[in-house]
Amino acid sequence: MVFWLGVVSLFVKAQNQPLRLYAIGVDGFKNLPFMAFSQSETVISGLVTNEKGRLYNPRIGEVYVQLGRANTSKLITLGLGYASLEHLQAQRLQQRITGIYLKLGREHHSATRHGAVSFFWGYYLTLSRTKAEGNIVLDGEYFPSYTTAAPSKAGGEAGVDFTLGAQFLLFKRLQTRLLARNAMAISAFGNRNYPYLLGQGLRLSNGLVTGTGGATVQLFYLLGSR
Amino acid sequence: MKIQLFITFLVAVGCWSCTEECGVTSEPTLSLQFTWLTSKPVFTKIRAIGSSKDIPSVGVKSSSKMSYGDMYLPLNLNESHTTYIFEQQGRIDTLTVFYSTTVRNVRRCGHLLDIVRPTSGRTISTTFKRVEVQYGSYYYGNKSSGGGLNVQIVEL
Repeated sequence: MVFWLGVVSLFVKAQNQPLRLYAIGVDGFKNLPFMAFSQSETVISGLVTNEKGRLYNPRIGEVYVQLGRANTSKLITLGLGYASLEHLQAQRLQQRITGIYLKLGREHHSATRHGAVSFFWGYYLTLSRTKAEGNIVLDGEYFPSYTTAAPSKAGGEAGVDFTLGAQFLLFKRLQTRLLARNAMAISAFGNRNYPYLLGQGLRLSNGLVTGTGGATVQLFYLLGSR
Repeated sequence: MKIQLFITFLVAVGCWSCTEECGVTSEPTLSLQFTWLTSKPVFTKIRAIGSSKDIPSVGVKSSSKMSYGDMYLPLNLNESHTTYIFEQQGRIDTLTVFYSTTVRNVRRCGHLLDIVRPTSGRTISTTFKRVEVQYGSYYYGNKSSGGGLNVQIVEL
């Protein structure tokens, strides 16, 4: 009985303090590592398949909104992302990986006010829709080069991650956030051999369930105080 | 030191299946084999129809580590057959091998190209007296011994 009273009181309290738009943000940082290492064949790709490969021509963008109730250190973060990358594996398989994804997260912050520096942790659910299409291209020495299409694949993926972060107030309401993520993802993709899971990062194995993760930098604009 | 250990670990995990061959990864070759009945002749010239240059008279380097033969010859993937002309002292022979290509999906390789027996029609045409052809996969790994396309010249 006491439990139910407690639940009801929490619910009523929650109803009294409606969710407010707290911040909006963007993430374009994810492009930079791929641009920086676009010429080098990575060991990471060798983990996923039997061959080395590289990812290049990234176009990855994410937009975020943060919602929170007054006087609470918990925030709900919603993100929408688009990613498009090209993958060259062992100089024979060229792929374009494109898709959109949705991120739903809950963050716990160390401070309830706009501090110059504060820390947070959280957990996210990522749902993505990915399409991969490509060609097998073989250079010829005695005969003309040969190209044939690899079957196009589309499918869904889901992942959960644990995130740790620090945020710094740059200028008045402009905040930069540094995040590190450690995730587990389920790939229900037709072909599970693509090395990059959209919205989640480089995969560590080509199994149905794989570990993934990464680090990124986000820029947020704070709309109101909690 | 920790970073070096981490990289070593990554490479070690990545090399669990380093011996796997992911199908045709460069211009493929067929292996040509002569039996004990037919010692390998000394060819003065080898040509392939559609080739941009002559093939060395001893053949080329094999495209697959798993193939076995006395010499290796490049295959034209843009056609469903390749015709070779072998010249030796006082004799010219031709050999045409027919094949088909397929794209397969293999877990550790992703999509890969393989060469298979044609679904219909003949497999070989030649002026040599007796020839046999075997269509081994160009994928070597789990459940496939690899080897690729092999032509055995049983009788000259």
